[in-house]
Amino acid sequence: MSEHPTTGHHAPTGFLSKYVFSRDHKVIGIQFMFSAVIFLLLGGALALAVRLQVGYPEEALGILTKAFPFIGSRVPPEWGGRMSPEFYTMLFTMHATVMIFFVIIPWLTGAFGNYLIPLMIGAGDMAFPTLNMLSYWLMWPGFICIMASFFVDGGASGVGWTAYPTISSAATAHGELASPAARHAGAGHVLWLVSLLFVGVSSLMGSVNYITTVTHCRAPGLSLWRMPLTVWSLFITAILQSVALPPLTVALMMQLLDKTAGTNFFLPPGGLGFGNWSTGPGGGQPLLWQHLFWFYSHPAVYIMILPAMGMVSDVMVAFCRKPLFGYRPMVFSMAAIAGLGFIVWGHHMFQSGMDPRLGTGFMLATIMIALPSAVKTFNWLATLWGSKIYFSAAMLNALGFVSMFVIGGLSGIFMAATPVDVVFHDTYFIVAHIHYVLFLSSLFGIYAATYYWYPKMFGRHMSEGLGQLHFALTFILANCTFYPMHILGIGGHPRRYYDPTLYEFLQPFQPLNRFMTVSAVLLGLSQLIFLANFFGSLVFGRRASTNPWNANTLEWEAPSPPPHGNFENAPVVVRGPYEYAISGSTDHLTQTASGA
Amino acid sequence: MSNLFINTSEWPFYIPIALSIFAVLMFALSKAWPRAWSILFGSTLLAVLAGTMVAAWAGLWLPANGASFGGEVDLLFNLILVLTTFFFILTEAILVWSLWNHKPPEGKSPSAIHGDHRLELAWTIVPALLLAGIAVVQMPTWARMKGAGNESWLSTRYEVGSDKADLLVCVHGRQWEWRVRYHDPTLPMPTRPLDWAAKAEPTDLHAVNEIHAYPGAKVRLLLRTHDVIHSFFVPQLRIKQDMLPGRTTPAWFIPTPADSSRENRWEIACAELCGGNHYRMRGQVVIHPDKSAFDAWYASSAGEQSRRKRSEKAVASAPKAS
Repeated sequence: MSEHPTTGHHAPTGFLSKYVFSRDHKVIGIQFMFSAVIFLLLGGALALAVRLQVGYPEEALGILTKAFPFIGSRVPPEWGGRMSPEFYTMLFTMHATVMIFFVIIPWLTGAFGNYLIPLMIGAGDMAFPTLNMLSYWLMWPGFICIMASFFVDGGASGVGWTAYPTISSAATAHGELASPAARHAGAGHVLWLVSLLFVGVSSLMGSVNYITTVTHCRAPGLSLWRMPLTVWSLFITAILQSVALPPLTVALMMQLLDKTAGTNFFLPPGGLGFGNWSTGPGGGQPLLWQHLFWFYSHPAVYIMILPAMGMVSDVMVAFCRKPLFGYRPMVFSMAAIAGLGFIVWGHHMFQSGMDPRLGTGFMLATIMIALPSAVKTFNWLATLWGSKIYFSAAMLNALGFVSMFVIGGLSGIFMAATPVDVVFHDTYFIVAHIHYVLFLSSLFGIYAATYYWYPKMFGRHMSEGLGQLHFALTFILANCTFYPMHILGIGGHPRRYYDPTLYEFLQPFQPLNRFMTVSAVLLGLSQLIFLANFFGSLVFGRRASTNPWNANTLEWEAPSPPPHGNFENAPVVVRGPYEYAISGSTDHLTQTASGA
Repeated sequence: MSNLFINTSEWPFYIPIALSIFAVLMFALSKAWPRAWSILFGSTLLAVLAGTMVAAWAGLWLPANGASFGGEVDLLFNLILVLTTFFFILTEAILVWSLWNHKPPEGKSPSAIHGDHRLELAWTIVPALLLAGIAVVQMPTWARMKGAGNESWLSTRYEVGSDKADLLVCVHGRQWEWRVRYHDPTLPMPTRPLDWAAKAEPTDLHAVNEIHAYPGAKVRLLLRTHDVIHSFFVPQLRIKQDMLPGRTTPAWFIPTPADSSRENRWEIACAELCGGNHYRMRGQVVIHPDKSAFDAWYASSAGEQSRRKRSEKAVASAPKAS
């Protein structure tokens, strides 16, 4: 790269332009991070309410009002002492929506993508700083819409985060907002659609920016094959996002028009009847939504795991003082996951009524996507083998990621096998699988990265002791919360059930449901340790040096925290990022160090 | 704590608390003895493995199979279970072992190895072959389950051969019940089952939330929905099929209950979110002991239906009393 990065703008001086409407990638990254941490609280609270209801169907509302007396006066009298089933559908819908679109994706790509990419490639800022600022501030209409949706008539969306038509899209022929199909599919669902549109456009802007920055702003000497895996993973993720998001945007727009403008994209010919309500004339196809939605949302699963994979690799080598095993195979397997990720979406639709012959094709692609994941796992294990491990909070979370990603990956093979998926589809088995990938993998990856880069971001360390305690509790309790879901799924326990005790074949599983609920509450409480650590360390944390972990990559050359423009002297790269355990006296060589 | 409505003296309550204490202990121990972390990982992973075995042993497992193709599904499940368990133990054992030996022996440092071509090839090719094997062995089962097998009464073009089925049943999902309609089994099967599914005939038997059949019956299902997507799920029959608005989706089963000397009742559950009362869309599949018991049930239900129709007609045509 001959073009050397320069900051395209001067250091801002006013409070607003420095901390609020900042074009500095570091401030924007931190803004994404803070909003994600706050939404994590909301998403977690929603999850606990869901778990309470499933574990204690009769008593859940009583427990909630007892624990939080201020809720008591707000409970609608027509509920009659129990949570209403419609309200329950809202809880799990919003839990998934908040966690996916407002916590994991913004935290991984928004916060770490923004913060780390320029620093790790030795650039002063993103290629398009203003676009970058816009990408964060477009999240805000999304935040406002999603929060407002809780308070509108009918409440927030309750049609599942997948929002399958026709329950989501059905509208009366006269264009009222209230939905004929479900109470929680009215104004709240319209706001849900608008909110996701904003979030999607924000991600799209971010990914265009990341791609350009990585291709154009790398420091001299930093060839593609010298980029750390974190940058590779964020780069590949950005490509995924930029290709997958447009179809989702189109689909959201179509459903929004179905709801508000009387189009019938997802309504079958002849329309539908809901009691005394009648819909428009129809002429569309409900299955179309599923194709468009999963064409984005399956790659989205990789959007939520690839950056964690990259960051975990970098955290791991720093704390095991050994070169990463199989750097190129690691990059190739990420590229393979991203590529195959686009032709597996149909595995969400094996039982949807899609032609079964198409299912066979999707099955083949899906089974094969297990391969690059396996290759990555073996390479991580080979990296650990014979290394010198420092059990820091960041490292423990990285190890947690690897061990739990194995479970999440292996359980995926059951559902990829079409005949077995007939039994497991839409049961708790899939809930277990998604949480092993998103909670026990992605979130462990996020925690690892947060502990690891926090000193760079804020110039202070998070407490190691609290971090390790948080990990020990989270690791055990998350397994208690999510592992038994596999057993429920094998037994045929459908997901999204308000009261499973109605079914004879589910009654033997109810003690497990209570076990998971108690574990989930304890798991939720343990996350408060993280929050206290995160916010407390901003003030009380031990001061960090420039390179506290003795790592090789470029961000550790900049001061902690880096000033506007990042580097005092523009770095010149002379080697790859994983030169550890060189020989005798030399423990590691940074990417810019001369010699050896 | 009883004022929180929770039973605090049962294992689902106190085991998570005990495990949290264990986690805190391991954390405290790790300061002086870093191998505590390997104990934390190892014990959790062992507990996962043991817990799965205990659940299977306690019967918290696949519901007893009652469908002709269910044996193949269960075999495939067990095959994948064995393979994944093997790789689970292999990878997690390497991980825990690495944590246990968390530093090289005195005087040695980690080797600066960046990779190994032969190892990469080995752990790419071996899983690839196993995965390809899994992919191939399941194809015939999938084809059979979805009606593309050799049975002359099934075909992906499901207009063909439906006349050889023993029972033709249209299940109509709606918020929140299953409307069931039987084609009279004593009459010849319709040549155009799709048309029949769309429009009831006067000879049809109507029922709600119950599907009756008998062991060995070739049951052809035509699934429709009135309003939103529902999914017809019977765990024992290893059947799950979404009902799409605007479409008729085919499915089939041959019940083969383990014990056919008695009546078997299996629950139908809806597996696709269909609104607030999604969880209440409970139905039943009733497998009579044999065909004659089924025929007797059918005759009496059909008789009752026609009596009811006659009396409704009589009420409707009766002169007004004014």
